[in-house]
Amino acid sequence: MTTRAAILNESTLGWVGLAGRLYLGFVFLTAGLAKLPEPAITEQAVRGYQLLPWQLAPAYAIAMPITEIILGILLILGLFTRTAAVATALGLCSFILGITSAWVRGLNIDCGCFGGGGASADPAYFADTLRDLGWLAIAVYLIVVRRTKLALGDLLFRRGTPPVEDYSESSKNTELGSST
Amino acid sequence: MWYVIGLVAVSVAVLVLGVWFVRREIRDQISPAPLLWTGYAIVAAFVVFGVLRTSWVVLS
Repeated sequence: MTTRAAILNESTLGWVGLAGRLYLGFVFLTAGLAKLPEPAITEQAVRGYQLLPWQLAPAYAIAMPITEIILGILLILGLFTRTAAVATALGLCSFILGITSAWVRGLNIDCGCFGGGGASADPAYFADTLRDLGWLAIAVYLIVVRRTKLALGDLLFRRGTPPVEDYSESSKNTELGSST
Repeated sequence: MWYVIGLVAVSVAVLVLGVWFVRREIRDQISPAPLLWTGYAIVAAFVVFGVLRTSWVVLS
């Protein structure tokens, strides 16, 4: 009974993880694809934050969308999901740092998260921060949950526990902590 | 100033949670310990750099 409840629970967590993986993956893929064709505008957006050294902005403006696209694809496919989720969480933390520090310094810039960026008369720091915190929560969930449904990584690397029907009676007893 | 204090506090909390997470993964034998600690060191370096850089920019 305990085992069945645990499996059901794990299954539910896995489906929730799949939903989170697909959502976050499409967000990152969309953000990367929006920025990739316009490196000059992305560079302007990066410079607007006044956080990175001036010379690093062009390289960052090219590397960031490519990284976002790779992470988006990995999350959608479910390949190296937890590693991709860690990298996604770090990226989101850096975006949150950038947005909140611009807010504190009184800068008026657009976040440039999905293209565009630079000076803005009407920055939406609060909304951007809340949105990124929500995505960060999804990334943390994907790190903690360990396995998600329909992940290509599971198919390719075949890790994990054997199916329930393969368990012998003695191993069931061991798992349940029974000494009888 | 309060922003930097909050940032440092949150970062320390994240790093401590990271240690707990890595120890849990090692205990459950999810990945080899050296790999997990190397990953943690990379993430921690990234976090520390981010905090130092942002604090520097905000305070200067």
